[in-house]
Amino acid sequence: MSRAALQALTAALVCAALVGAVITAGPPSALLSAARAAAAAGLCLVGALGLGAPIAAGRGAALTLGLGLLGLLGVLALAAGLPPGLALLGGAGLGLAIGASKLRTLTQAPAAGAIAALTLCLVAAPTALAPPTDTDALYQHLGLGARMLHEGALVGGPLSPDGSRPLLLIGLWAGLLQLGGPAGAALTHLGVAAAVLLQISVLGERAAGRTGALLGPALFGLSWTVLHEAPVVGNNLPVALALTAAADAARAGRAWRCGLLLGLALSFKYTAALGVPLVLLSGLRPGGALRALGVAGACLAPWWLRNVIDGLHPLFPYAGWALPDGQALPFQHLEKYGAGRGAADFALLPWRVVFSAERDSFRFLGQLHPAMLPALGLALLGGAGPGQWPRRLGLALGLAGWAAGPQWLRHLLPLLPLLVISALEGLVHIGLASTSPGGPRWPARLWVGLALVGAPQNLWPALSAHAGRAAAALDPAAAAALRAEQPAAAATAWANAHLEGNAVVGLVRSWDLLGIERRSRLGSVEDHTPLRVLLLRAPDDPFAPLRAAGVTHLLVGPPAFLRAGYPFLSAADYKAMYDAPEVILEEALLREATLLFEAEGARVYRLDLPRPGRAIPGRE
Amino acid sequence: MPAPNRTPGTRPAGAVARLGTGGRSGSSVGLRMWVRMCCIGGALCTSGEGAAARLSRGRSTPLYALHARCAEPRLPALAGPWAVGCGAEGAVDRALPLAGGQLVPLPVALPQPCLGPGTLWDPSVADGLIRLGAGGATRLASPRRGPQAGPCALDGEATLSQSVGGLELSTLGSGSRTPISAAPVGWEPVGLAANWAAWVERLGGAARLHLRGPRGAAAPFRPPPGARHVISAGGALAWVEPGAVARWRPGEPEPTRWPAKTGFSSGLGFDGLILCWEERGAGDVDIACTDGLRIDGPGHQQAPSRWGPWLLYREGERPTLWSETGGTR
Repeated sequence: MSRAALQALTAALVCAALVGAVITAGPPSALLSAARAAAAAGLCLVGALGLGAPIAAGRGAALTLGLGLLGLLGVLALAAGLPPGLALLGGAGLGLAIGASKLRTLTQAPAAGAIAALTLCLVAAPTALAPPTDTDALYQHLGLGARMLHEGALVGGPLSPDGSRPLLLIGLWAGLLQLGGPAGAALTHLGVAAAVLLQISVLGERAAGRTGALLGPALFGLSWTVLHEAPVVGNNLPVALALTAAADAARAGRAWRCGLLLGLALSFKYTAALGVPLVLLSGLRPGGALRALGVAGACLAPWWLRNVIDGLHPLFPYAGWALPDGQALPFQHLEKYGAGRGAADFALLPWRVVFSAERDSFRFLGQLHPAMLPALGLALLGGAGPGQWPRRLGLALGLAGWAAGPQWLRHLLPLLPLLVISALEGLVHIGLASTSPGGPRWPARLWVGLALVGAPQNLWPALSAHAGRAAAALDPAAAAALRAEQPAAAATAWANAHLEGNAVVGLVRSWDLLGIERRSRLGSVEDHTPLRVLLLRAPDDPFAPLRAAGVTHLLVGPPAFLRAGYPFLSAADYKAMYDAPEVILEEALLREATLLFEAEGARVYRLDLPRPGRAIPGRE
Repeated sequence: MPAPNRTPGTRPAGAVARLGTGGRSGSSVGLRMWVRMCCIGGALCTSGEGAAARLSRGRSTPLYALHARCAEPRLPALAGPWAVGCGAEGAVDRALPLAGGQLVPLPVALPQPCLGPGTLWDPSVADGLIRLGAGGATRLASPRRGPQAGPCALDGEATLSQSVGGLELSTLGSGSRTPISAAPVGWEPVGLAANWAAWVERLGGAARLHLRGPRGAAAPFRPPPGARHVISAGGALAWVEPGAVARWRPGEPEPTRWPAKTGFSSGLGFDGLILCWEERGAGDVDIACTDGLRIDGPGHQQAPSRWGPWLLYREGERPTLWSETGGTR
């Protein structure tokens, strides 16, 4: 048997085993669930590498392209009413068949990077295998996929605004949800995080020799934000992978490939825009940069077009919502986040972001390792060759863009690998590292000291959190207890147990799209809650659009907004934007809904028939 | 906020208590109270309508001591001549004698107790049985039943609790239990009257009230689909049906029904004789009772809990006590 035939046979066997596991999985044991998740993640990652390998030579580019293609297959399958899991299975199987011969090359990396990646996977695996609790994973990354699986179609529009964002990764997560459950998606994401570390190690070695191969992954991987995000399904680390690969393609002068990777990064998440200046200034000529921009725009155009066809702003929901009285509700109030917006606040930002960030509050919502502060200095101000200043300008623009946004550290993740590589280059240019084996070693030792300084704030909280999830990863009772800690968990469980199978649940002030096992509408977090729009647009009959959309029940979470969170709003504005909708909601619930369940501040209602004289819009 | 005056002739801007069927009685307060107690026990009266004529206009008073929100949404409520409410943690930890006196702290906080006249019992708490009396609150020995799926019910010394696996009949203070094969919906309360157990199951989304008598006897009637919000007191059961509230005393061939637009939020207030419920009006939510009492006015009046001449309800978010005589609170 030839080698290619053997590989194809192996791929087929893996696919068959996975299909068998999916079909026979009743109430599986934790071990079987973990094995199923690992098989799905392994198949997805290796299949994606194989799919991308014929198009791009580098690992990061191949994996990004492969993941993008698998996501696209998932989106197309959902649009056609087909199971995205099947599309993923087919795509990954094809990737194994056509790209298997290149896998060995693609998986080679410096030893330091490989050890760092393996360590990350081992340390963070318990969190990946435990039930997801991250808010963004529940309402968006996994939640949207789950909603689409219940719906059997793509979702979007005013009642599911998060579905009107670019959905490339959501298509991928939906397929993984079907094949390997939430843990399958989480392990895949962890694999992507490991690939980012490997990528940094490879690029770090290129920039600063062996010191760079070790220092790069360490600089990036020892921040709490990175360790925390690695096993949590999200889009920041896939964007980091895509941007790093795009910058590498730009350095090599490959405009088309760079544009494609940029387009994928932006289709993963719009915050990839922070890295666009840096990527375009990384070695492309002006014509090439324009070409890359055009390709990236073409990748995004279908998402914009979809929104326009739906009668929405191309950038919905980020463009916010208009109200009849000429007022508007923004997607989010940037002043609510970070550490202030005055000139002094921006000047102090680099210091604050490292030394006074808070992991559990809107003050940066994360934590960076102290070593990132000198890294930032080196990246922006360290010595540089003639061709490097444009890139530093690009990096500065990206950082400024981040500072102008909500200043969440997880939004900085896409830029961090490029920042680390720039810092390593700066280190070389000031003579503290060398690409040759005989370079100075003390910078690496200095970093070890810094790592020890940063450990109490970064390493230990992340490690102990991951270790704390081990029980939930292995014991179904502990997993159930963890799920029960979620807001509105009791109401969600009651709805899953008691509502009709064809019920359509409107999620009001609640966001567990993953947990609700029914078709659902609404459901979002923070300020971008579409229900407020409905309430303010038609206070006398706010549930009419929900009835028209087939909503039969409402799951109402506890009040979500506190005045203290909006000190920048006047009392009148806060009352109009936040208090008024609450009053309208409670009134409407008393008038037009029947309470079925209440626990821990969360309630389940059945929507009553409309009051006499009121027709349901859109229905005869 | 000061309590609105609800005495005759001074119609307040807030809620107003009205009596639809009766007029002023010439009997003394003490006599009327005595008659009410007898009626609640079922010894003298058979229907609330007869007693209604004894009522007169009363007065509502906010109960600031019970202002904290309870984790169990049916509380605060009346436990006979006591109003019980919660502390900052949301568990029941205080009782207020309606006839006057100091707030009584409970010896143990109970997260989800069921209430009888002067009695609180929470099967999820070890020794979670509390008797209220002239000497204050007394905690009594009572075996812990484990996590509960919903509120329990008391009928004298008999109890009906909702364990996670089903229903259990038992006696206060006793460790022995008799399981009932049932799949109660949880959260919905259960009822127990003269050895008749009532609970709500949900099949395919539709609520269905189940009634089971001694030795598995079936009720002589079939509650309609959608019946729920069951409550028991004074040897009788009551519940909400689509378009009506119903009261049934075991032995009667059919329940007595009153038309009502209710069941959309809170359940019933029931003292064994008189039923009170939330009525969804054209503009707001008011409280109506089978004896003709109505608590209405601007804003919403909700969550009735009735015991004899007292009605505890929520005026907006504020627990408020209406009493026939104006009371002493």
